Amino acid sequence: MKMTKILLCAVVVGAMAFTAKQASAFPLALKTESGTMNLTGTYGPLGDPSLTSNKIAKVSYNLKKVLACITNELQLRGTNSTTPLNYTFMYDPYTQICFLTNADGYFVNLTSSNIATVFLDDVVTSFKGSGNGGSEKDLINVELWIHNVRPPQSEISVQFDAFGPGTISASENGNTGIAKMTITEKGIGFTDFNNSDEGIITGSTFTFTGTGTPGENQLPFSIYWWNVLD
Amino acid sequence: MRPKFVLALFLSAVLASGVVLYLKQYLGLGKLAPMPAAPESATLVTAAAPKTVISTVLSSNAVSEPAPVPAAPPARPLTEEQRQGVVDAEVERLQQLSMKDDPASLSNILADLTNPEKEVRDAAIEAAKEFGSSNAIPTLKAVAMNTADTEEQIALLEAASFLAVPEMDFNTPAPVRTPEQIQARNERDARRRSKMQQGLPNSESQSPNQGQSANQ
Repeated sequence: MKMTKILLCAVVVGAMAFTAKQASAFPLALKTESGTMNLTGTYGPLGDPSLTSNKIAKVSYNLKKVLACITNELQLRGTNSTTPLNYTFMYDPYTQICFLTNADGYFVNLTSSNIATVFLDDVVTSFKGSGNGGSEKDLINVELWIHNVRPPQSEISVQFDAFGPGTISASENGNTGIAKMTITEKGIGFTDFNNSDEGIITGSTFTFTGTGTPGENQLPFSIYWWNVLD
Repeated sequence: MRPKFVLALFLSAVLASGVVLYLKQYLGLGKLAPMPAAPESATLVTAAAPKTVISTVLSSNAVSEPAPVPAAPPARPLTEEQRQGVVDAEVERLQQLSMKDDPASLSNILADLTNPEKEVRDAAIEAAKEFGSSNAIPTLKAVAMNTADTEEQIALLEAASFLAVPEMDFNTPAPVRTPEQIQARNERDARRRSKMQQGLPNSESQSPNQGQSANQ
């Protein structure tokens, strides 16, 4: 009887620990995203004598434009006809989910909605400290892909696929247990705007940043990424 | 003896008169107390002050003498943690300003291009790009000319070039497509979708802070 109770307690404690780890999250807010789209609208067929010259069309985008496309897409899908004004685009590097949310409980999973995905492809790491606080600085190859979103007044979807080298900076206060993390990218990308045949992003950049309480063994992030996520 | 006494008395009187004159001229003793400040100036002074300070100042106007001004405490150097807190707060403010459209927000962003903290200056460059106004170009170029840091100079000039490019216009009419072009485009999209399927992270997980889930 006593052994049964002990086993039962062990199972309950184990389940609680597992649940706590599953629940732990470290959402980072998308603070900046910008780049220049370089577009070839139409290539045309081989041997067309009327094609004697072509110019690359250039337009810029920033976070306001990206969010306008995402919220318009959600409205068109009927996912959220009333997007709140104070929403934020978030990414959780531990669950690898992108979502729109706000302080009032609004939530749309953009990754399962096939709208936004972050790929963390490569990480080389440097860190110091222990469970009593520390800091981390990694070099990464990262990609933020916004796709299948229709801009306002348009039925043609646009893609912002920014990728390239970047950094992860993280630090944890040993006294409070609160950590800060920032993910940045400065690179290039692929884009598709207004039915363009081809599109390249130059000067792509984005920044995710946030604070949170990481779960056990979740920092250094690079170690977690190598063992759990990669 | 008597002339000496008279002389000493005379010198003391002269000295006392000098002291009185000095106090009158430089310290204002003996003058009438200044009139209370005009209501307009009082309002201006207290406009930006917290309510508690306002009430204190207004009540002090009823008194004929001005309130003594306490000496400012010597500025203490910030700890590294405090300094980082100030920097983080300013970066956050810049990011909020970058999502606005008014000229005052742009002015505040551009003012931080010369902030002593490099982290704030970098955030100001990004905020200027996010704000998306070509009015920032002259300031970005001017600051670049006065920056010794080469990387920062490049970032400033790249931001100026970025803002010189027209923003994407959602109302631009799309070109008409031939069936072959549509086919080629669909194939390219399929290739990219295939890449996504291969590398898609587990999308079943949910954020713990989700409220009204509206997933598709």
